[in-house]
Amino acid sequence: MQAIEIVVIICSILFVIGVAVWAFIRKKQGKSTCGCGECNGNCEKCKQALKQAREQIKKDNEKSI
Amino acid sequence: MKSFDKNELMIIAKPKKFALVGNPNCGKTTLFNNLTGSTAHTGNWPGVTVDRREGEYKKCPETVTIVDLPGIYSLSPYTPEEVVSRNFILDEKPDCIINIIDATNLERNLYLTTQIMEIDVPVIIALNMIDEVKKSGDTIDAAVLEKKIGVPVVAISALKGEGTTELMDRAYEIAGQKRDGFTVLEQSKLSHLINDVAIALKGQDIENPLFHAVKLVESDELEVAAHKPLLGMIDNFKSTFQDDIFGVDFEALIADGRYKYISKNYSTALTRNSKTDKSKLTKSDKIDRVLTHRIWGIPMFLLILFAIFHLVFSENFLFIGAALGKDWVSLPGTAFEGVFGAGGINSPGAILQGLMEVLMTWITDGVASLLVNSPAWVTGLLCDGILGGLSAVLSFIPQILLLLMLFSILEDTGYMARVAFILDRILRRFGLSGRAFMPMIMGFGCSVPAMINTRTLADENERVATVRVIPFFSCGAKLPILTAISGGIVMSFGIGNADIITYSMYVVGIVTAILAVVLMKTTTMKGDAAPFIMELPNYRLPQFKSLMLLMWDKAKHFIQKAFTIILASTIIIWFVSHFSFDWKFLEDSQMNNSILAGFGKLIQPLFTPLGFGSQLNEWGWVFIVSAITGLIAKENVVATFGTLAACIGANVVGGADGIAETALMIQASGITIPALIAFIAFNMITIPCMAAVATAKAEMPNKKKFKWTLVFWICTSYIVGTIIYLVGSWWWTIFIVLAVMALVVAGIIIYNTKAKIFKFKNKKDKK
Repeated sequence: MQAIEIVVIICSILFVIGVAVWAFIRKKQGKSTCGCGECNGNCEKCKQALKQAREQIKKDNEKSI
Repeated sequence: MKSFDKNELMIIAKPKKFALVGNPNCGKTTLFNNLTGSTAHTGNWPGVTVDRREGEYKKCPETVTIVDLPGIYSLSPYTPEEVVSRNFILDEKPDCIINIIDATNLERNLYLTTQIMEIDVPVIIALNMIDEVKKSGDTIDAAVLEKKIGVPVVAISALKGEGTTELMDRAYEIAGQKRDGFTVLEQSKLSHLINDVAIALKGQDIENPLFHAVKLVESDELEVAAHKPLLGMIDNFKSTFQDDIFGVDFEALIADGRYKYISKNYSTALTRNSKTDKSKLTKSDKIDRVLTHRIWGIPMFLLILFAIFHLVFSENFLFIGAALGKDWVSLPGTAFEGVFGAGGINSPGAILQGLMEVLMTWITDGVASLLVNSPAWVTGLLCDGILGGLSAVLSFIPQILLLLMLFSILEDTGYMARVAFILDRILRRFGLSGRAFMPMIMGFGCSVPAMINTRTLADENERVATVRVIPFFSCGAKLPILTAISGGIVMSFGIGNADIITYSMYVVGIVTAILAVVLMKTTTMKGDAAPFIMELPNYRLPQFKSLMLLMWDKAKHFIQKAFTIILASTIIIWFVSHFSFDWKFLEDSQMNNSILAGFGKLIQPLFTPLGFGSQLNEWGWVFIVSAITGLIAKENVVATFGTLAACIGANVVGGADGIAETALMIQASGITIPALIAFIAFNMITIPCMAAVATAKAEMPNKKKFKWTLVFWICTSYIVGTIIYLVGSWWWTIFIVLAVMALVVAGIIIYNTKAKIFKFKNKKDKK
């Protein structure tokens, strides 16, 4: 096996693992990996806001009924 | 005693926080971008921002955090994003509120101001769009307004960056200072009650007592729940009170009081141009007469949409190819052969794509020449696997950016808000409001922010239905699939125009979305559409700077994605397509025995009804694995074509771009045109990328609805793909399809009628 083959294999494996870790961290942070740069609504701040909003809307709906 | 220098103090002190608050579409995000250098999405329609975002302003003596909040008309929230704004203002106590006012709509915008002023926090008013006021010949005296309101007022143009430095300097001056709330309801019939409640709240050490008192008197849901003991005081007052017009509707009485005060006191700062003939139609009105016409509005929208696709994708621009002769611009024998046209003139988008293709070919050839002495598999991985996959995707960047720019122009001019109104007439019949169309339109850019934007919809069923159909509006990531296969069809079969195919597929997506909504709203999600009230923005010329920033932002993210997720995917695809199950390395010609091929062949029969299953030859599995890799990121579909096509290595005209590589796959697999169209439809409608799935999960009210959403995407894409393949291959099957559809409709009608009768009987029995 030539040196270049070893380098290519190691680099490929490291790159794929690196991207997987990066994507995982982004997901944990609630940031999307889709490339649009927006949070995907999964971060704690978003979840909290959504939860509050849903409760509020539920109350409003009950009130209007 | 230790003394602190300035830098140390800055570290110890919490950074000052300024909140941008204002009505929807008054320019908050534009000001936010201007102050912080951000590139947050802006649009000329209300409701673009649905969550708060933060940035830093560095031109004050210390760095200031700027918080951009969703637009609100009042501090009594009705939709999720309005809750975000109210909660921030009250709970997180900003050091200063910058209240942005659309100066062209002074009175209506000041309604919110009168509520903000009741909070004990420093407030400064940014009189935005002052340039538009001047243009119309009107004048607003900021000094007079400041004197009347009692808080600083600065005239600005957020779009042009005028007056923003003065605004921030004055905001910094007053930030953190103590300011007691003030209400304009002093002259109101309810002033005594408000004062009494405020004193009672102050006695309980409640912050912002005046604000809470007014809201409690208004019977605001949140306040009533929080201060129940004080309700007796209000009820007592109600029992002795009666207004001639509003009765005991205190909410309406307070709103009326605010508007009367604004009209009497603040509006005097505005001087209307005496020469303006109010009966005369404005420019916006004149344009609206054509673009929002009752009958021609929708055909006009479809025509504008087609013009955009023609400009971006056509290889026969303006259909003048035949008139000019075949080889007029084809430049045979040069590196630019076919870039400017072949048999017709290419559209600007197609020319840019051609130039990108030339660049990618040079890079691929350059890398290949450097690896002449390397082992064959290394060359294969780097050139065919990585560069083949990447170039297939990257060659579409110019077209994606151009398309997004044109959509953004439609949005910035205010046209898209009009389209929502035009479509409201149709969507309402099916239980959706035109408001739902705005997130759908955002879906053309990216499904993720579009799904988040559904928070502006007040009805839960409407929100769920909209989230489910957003992926049907092809996002930028799906564009390479559409363009590569449309181009591949033209290249392989020599028929049709790529732009017409691409445009038709977008229309198929929109029609499928509408039909799916109809189906949901007549079966599992019954209910009337919420009323659609949205302020129509004035037509505005898009700003060159903001368009360029948008393009730069999109390009940056696209390239980041290409060199992370897509690059990693191409490496994996290349490896699994070059190793057998017993871990033996395979030559390109042996790929049919690879792990990837084995996996593809296993599930290939499932796709036979869609035309890209068992009926294809030995290379048919490529279409299956491409669709599967697309679940990670949609660009992967074409990247997989690129990687695998480069390995198949058949002779095909063209360079290192997605179209040539797709054409190669078409030739190698023997797939038909209807099956290719079905393949596009399947990829457009099926489960979107992982990021969009995660967002859908977050936006759904519960896990059950999310699971049904996944089933819905799979079933819809399968059905639509099957119909397209069947009807495209055997035209007479249209009658079978129509018969089945008629049966489904009849079934729904019978079921709904029975349900109604059952409900009626139940009611009668109860009575």
